[in-house]
Amino acid sequence: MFGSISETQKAILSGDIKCVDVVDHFLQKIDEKKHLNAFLTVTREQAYDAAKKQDKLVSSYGRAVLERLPLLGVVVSYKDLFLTKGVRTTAGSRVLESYIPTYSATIVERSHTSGMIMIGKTNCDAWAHGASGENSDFGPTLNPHNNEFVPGGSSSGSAVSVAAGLSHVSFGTDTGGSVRQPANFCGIYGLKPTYGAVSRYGVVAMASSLDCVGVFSGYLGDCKKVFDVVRGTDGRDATLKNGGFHIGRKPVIGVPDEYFSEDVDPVVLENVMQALEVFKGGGYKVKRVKLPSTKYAISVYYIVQPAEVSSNLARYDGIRFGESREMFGLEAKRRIVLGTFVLSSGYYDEYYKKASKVRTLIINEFDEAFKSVDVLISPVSPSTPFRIGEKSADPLKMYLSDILTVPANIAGIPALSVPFGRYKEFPLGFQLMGPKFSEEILFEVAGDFERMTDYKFIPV
Amino acid sequence: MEKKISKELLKKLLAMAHLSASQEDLEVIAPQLAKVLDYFSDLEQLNVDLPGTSQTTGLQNVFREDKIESSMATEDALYNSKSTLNGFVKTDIVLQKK
Repeated sequence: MFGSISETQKAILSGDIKCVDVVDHFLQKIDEKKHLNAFLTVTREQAYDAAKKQDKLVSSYGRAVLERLPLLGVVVSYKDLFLTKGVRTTAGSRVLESYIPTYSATIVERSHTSGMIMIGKTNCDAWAHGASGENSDFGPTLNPHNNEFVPGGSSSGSAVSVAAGLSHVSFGTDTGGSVRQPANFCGIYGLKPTYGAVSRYGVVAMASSLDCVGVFSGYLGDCKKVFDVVRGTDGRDATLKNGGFHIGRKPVIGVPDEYFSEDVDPVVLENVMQALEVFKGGGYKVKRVKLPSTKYAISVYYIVQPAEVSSNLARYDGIRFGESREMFGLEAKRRIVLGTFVLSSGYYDEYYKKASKVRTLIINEFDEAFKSVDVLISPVSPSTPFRIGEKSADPLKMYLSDILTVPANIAGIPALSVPFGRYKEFPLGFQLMGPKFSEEILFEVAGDFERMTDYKFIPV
Repeated sequence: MEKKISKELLKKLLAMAHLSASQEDLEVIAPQLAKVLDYFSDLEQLNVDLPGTSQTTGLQNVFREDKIESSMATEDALYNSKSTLNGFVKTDIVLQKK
């Protein structure tokens, strides 16, 4: 009854439950799963207020209410990087510990206008810096499948919010894999759209040429519904474009050799190969492709991204809002210093300029690959979830966790993390990448896969 | 060969970014950054004769119509500021008279 969006809406419209009951259900789950530290703020009162208003509309208009509120009764959480008017927004950092935004992000406004009900703000690595959730100034988020392991990051709380059944859907941000990797570690869908498909107005900026707003969901159909509501130009984020296309035939799947290297855990690889067999069995054409410059992606990413981080975090002066710069944690300091270094006179050519050229090389290789295939399949993370504390003392080791996800950000192309298979108690999966604005094709291929494997989402 | 970031350079970079770090933090950060820079050396060998990419949308000169629109109210803009005076943000003195 509280599973997918369509299931919940059916129950509401048939009179079996009220929107208030939906809010009750998820708030109770949040209380039960408090130990996971998924939420930094729970917006209990706002959620009930919104639900009561919707219940009145349902009793006045019946089914017709869906024309005004297509996402009626859908409970959503937001990574604490999205500004929410009147509701504290911390970015997971003590710098913004008591910051109360006076306006909301475009995606927050669009979500609420379409009927979604905010239940709270989720924990994350401070400033979205991390691949484990451990860099949050408010303590780590725990993996719901095994509490001694990380849920992935940086959108740790958002992934757990959906995987543990604490909300229908959640919004995160993906600068180098921060939606896809935690979705993979928690066993749910995670969409990183095309760069410029979803507005970043009112989102705490990390690295502006890479940042994307992404969606977490347990059900593929829910991900598509939410994406359709928030996408498109808003007159505020100047990087936005409207786009999308179909190809009108069965997509050809490309297998990039470089993503199946010996650096990837055999358990992860074997599982992706099994997924590939499912596709082949379903009549999909599969082709090997080459993306030889993939090996430079981490270097390019960890030069360009800190450079942009150092610029974006320069605005936190403790004067107009927020606390002083003394409150920045070690990881933010490391990235600001690294970014300042690669942009500084004497080092700019050697690092930033070089990285931006290699970025072009990586983009060209993707363009070439998409001439012969429609989507690419690969692992999401080179490993299964790691233990809390395992990588936190070694930043380089942590950065290398992003090796298979950063290329999509570098090229600005969409990618979808798909849950499939298990290893011990942990979920596994794969990602699908496509050319810019090919989200519909990714949904189509993932939907076909879901049918072929008869996949059912069960919250932990 | 491992690249060194001297503590002097690190202190200078921190100062440029308006940050400070304890002696202990310096001891931790310096070798970590050296290790990361060392990893970047794979780019050194690479000869790339391509223009750089700073954004992927291809959009240029995105402007809105030049007409007056409503903007944030003063009280909203100042809401999170710790120190204000007569509708302005109050800061420490930056320029001093000689």
